[in-house]
Amino acid sequence: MQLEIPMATRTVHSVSEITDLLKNLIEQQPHLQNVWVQGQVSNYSRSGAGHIYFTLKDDRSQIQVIMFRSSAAGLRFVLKDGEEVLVQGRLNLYPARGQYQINANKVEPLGIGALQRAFEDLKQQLADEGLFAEHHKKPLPVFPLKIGVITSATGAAFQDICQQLRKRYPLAEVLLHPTLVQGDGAAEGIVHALQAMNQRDDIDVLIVGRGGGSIEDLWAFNEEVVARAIFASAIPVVSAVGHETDFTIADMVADHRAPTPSAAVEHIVPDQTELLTQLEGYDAWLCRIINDRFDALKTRLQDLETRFSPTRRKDAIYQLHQTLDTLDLACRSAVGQKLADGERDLHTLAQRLNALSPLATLERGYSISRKMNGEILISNQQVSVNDRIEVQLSHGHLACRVEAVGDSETD
Amino acid sequence: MTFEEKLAKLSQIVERLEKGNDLPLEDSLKLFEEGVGLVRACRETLENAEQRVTNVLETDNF
Repeated sequence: MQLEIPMATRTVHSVSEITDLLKNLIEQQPHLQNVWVQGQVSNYSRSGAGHIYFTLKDDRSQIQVIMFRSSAAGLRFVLKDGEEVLVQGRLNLYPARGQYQINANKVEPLGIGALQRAFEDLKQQLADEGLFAEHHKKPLPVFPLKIGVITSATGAAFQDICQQLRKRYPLAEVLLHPTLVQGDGAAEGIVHALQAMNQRDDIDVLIVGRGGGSIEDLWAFNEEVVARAIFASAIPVVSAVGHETDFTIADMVADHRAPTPSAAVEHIVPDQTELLTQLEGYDAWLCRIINDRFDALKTRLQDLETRFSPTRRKDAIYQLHQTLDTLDLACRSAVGQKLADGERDLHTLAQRLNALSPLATLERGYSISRKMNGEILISNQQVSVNDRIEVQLSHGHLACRVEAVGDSETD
Repeated sequence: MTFEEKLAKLSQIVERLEKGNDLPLEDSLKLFEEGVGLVRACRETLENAEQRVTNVLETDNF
C-alpha cells in the first residue's frame, strides 16, 4: 500500500512562490550583494535600450551577467567576447526565466590598466566621431566680461583662477558653478554644471577643471558624458585639468586646453598692464596728432598774418609808387624820343625840300622873269615892247623894260 | 559701452585723426577730446576694477 501524504499536510507552492523564496534566499545574503567575480566574456550583446548582457565563464561554470544602461554608461572600455574581466555587482534572480544572475555595477578588464584601456578606447571612439576636430573648436572672446568656472568651490584651482584674474584682468566677472570634481557623481556634476551654464546667455567663456591629482582623481575628465557635454557647449570651453603633464579627454574635446587653471586665465583674458601701456600709447599719440595739427595751423596763421601786416601794406603802397614812377619815367622818355625823332625827320624833309627849290637853280645863274602881275614869263608872246618886267636873280632882282620882242634863238 | 567697445572706438578715433588733415579743426578737437576721455575712462575702469565673484548655486558644499 502506497502511503499517501495526506493532502492536508502537503504544502503546495506556486512556481512564483518558490521563485520568490529562492530570490529572497539569494538577495538577502549580504555577501552575495557585493561580489567580485572573474571570468571570460561570452555571448556579449547590447540591447537597443542600452543594457548589456553577457555570460561569464570559467572552465567549469557559467553565470549570466546583466548590466543596466545606468551602469553601462559608466563602462570605460569596449567589452568583447573572449575578454577576461572582473565583474563587480550583486547576485539576484530573474523570476521570468528562473535564472540567477549578476547585476553588474562595474566591469573592469584584466591585463592592461583598466583606466588606461578605458582612456584609449574612449579617445579612439571620440576621435573617430570627430569630437576633437579642429573645425569644431570655437574661438575665444578677446575681452570676456563674464567667465564661468566649473570646479570645486574649495579647491586650489578656483583660488588660482581668482587670484590670476585679479592680477591680470579684474574687469571680468567670475561665475562659479561649484561641482564635485572627483569620485562618484563628479562626472554627472560637471555635466550638469556645463548644461546649467549654457542655460544662461551672459557667459562669454567657460573654464572647466581642477588641480592636480592621481589618474583616478582626474578620472571624471576622462568620462564620455563629460566629453560630450563639453562638445555640446555653445559657450567656448577652456579645459584646465591637473598639471602640465596631465592630458585628459576633456582637454582634447575642449576648445582650448590650458595646462593649469592659472594658465587658462592667462589664455582667455588680456593683461591689464599691457592694456594700460596700450592706453598710454593712444594718449600720447592723440596729443601728438592734435599738436601737429595745431602747429600746422599756427604756421599758416602766422603766414597770413604777415601778409596782412601794416608794414607789409605800406611796403605795398611804396611799391605801387615806385611802379608809378617807373611807368612815368618810361612814358616821358618815350615821348622825348618821339620828339627827337620828329625833329630829325623834319630836318631831313626840309633838306629834301630845299633841294627841290627853284632858288637853288637861281644860284646856278638862272633867273625868273615875271610880269608886274607876277605872271612868270616862259614865252615872248606874253609881253610887248615897253612892258615892265621884273627879273629875279639869286640875289636880289632887277626892274626891266622890254625893248624888243625877238624870236627864240632857234628862230 | 563695454571696455572692449571703448578700446575699439578709441582706435577708430586715432585712425581718423591720423588721416584727417581734411577734418575741420573743430571736428578734430571734438575727436581729440572724445579720445582723451576714452583713454581716461578705460584707464579708470582698469584701475578701479574689483573682481566680482558670484556663486551661481549660492552654496559651496563642493
